[in-house]
Amino acid sequence: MRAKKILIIDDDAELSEELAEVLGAEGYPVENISDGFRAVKMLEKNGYDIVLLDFKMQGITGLDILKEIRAKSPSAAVFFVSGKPGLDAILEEADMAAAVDAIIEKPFDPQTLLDRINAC
Amino acid sequence: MFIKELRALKRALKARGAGAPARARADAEQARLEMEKELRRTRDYLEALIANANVPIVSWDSELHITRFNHACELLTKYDAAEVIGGELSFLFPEGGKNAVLARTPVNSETVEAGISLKHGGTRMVLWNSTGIYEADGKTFAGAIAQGQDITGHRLTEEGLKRDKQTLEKAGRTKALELIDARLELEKAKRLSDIGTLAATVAHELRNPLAAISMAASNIKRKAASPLLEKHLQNIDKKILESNQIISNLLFYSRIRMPQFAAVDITPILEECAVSRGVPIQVDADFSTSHPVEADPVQLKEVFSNIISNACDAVSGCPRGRISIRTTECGKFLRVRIRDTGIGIEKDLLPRIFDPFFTTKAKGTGLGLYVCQQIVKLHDGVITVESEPGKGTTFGINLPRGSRYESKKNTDN
Repeated sequence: MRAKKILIIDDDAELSEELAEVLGAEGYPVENISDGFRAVKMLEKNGYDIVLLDFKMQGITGLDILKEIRAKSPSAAVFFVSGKPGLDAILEEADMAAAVDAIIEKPFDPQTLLDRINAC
Repeated sequence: MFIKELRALKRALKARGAGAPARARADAEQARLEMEKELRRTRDYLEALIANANVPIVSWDSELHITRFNHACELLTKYDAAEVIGGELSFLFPEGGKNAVLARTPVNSETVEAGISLKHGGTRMVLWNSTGIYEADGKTFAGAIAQGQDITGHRLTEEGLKRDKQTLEKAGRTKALELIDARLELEKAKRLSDIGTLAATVAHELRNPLAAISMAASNIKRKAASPLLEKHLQNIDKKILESNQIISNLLFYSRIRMPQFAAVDITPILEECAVSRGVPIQVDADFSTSHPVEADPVQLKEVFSNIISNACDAVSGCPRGRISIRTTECGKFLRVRIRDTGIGIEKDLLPRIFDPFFTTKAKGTGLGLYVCQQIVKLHDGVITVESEPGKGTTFGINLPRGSRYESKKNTDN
């Protein structure tokens, strides 16, 4: 079975790098990008099975990206991986709670994230 | 008028002395009659003046017996003059001190406030102006006369105004205190709002690096796979947990929210909190029995994490330190008891441990137990603490069992 392709969208370069290694070690093909606008183009071009999405990024929010993903790649699993407090309420208010597969709050146990990804 | 008659009488007497016969006597008699007539007229005039004056006038003799009591006095007191005249002055002025001032024999006029008795009870306050009356020698006291002005209305008005002033001052003070309280509340709310904004920003900014550290530690663990590094990596994980706990407490403190109730099993939450400490401390607990409640699992995790974290700190310096966790069902409550055999808390500090920003530890925000207490209260539960310095501390968390809907229905019934 083909391993699921993962895109990490997070403007914390070190976190993206370390996380990509954790996932890569589990056999997942992983790409990461810190620029939210470019991420949207990458999504269109490459197509990913799972997107790990930060909320607060330079010039664009994870919510904006989520809307783009749902418009163009409705089947991709989207995990919000964020340290922003009250994210569930923000998603509820934007009527986008159902568009998210999971919210993983930073900092998190790598195994917890792996379990969620493996279950996809 | 008297002067004219007196001069005529003097002339008549001189004439009689000079041996003037019958004519002079007749003149003298005539003058005397004229004078008597004039005196009567004057007396009648004065009597009428006193009797019909529209201010109360009363007079008394040297024995302090009332001799005059005019119509205005009658109207004021409802006594008839006949009931009063001849009576003791004290009958009208029962107040000893004021009576004494009135009764004394003023050479010049004297002004004094004195209450006059009323026929049907009570008194009216009158401002009296009294003047002494003396015999022809100018020394012997013959009596006194006093005219008054009823000032009861003024006094009542004054007292009313005084009372109004006091009431207004009191109301003003109360209002001012209310305003101060409201301002303090506003300032507190603003402070909490500011803390909330700060906490949210800090939380986001710190959780990112914490996540990166956690991932890096995980990668090192995998790549190095060395027992020599294991302890250090465990310490990194522990400190990440502690840092995140501080952030959570600060967030909770600044934005206390209502629990999101769900049917949860307490046992795995307790187990997760105990295991996640990741330090070699002996924990006695039975995690095999299920204990369901309706609660907010995130908030319960916050409570147990804080208390277990405190317990770990308390036993960290004790060579044979132990932590035991027991869950028992006590009637309508599920009781979680977390006991440590650590350093304990001084008796005088115990009442303060749930206060925000109070801590007995060298490091700590002092928010953990405050947050625990708030969460347990929001769950309609109770949190208790017992401690003995040198022996350890026991926290008890009682949470209502069963469905919250059923509990509410039973309470309402």
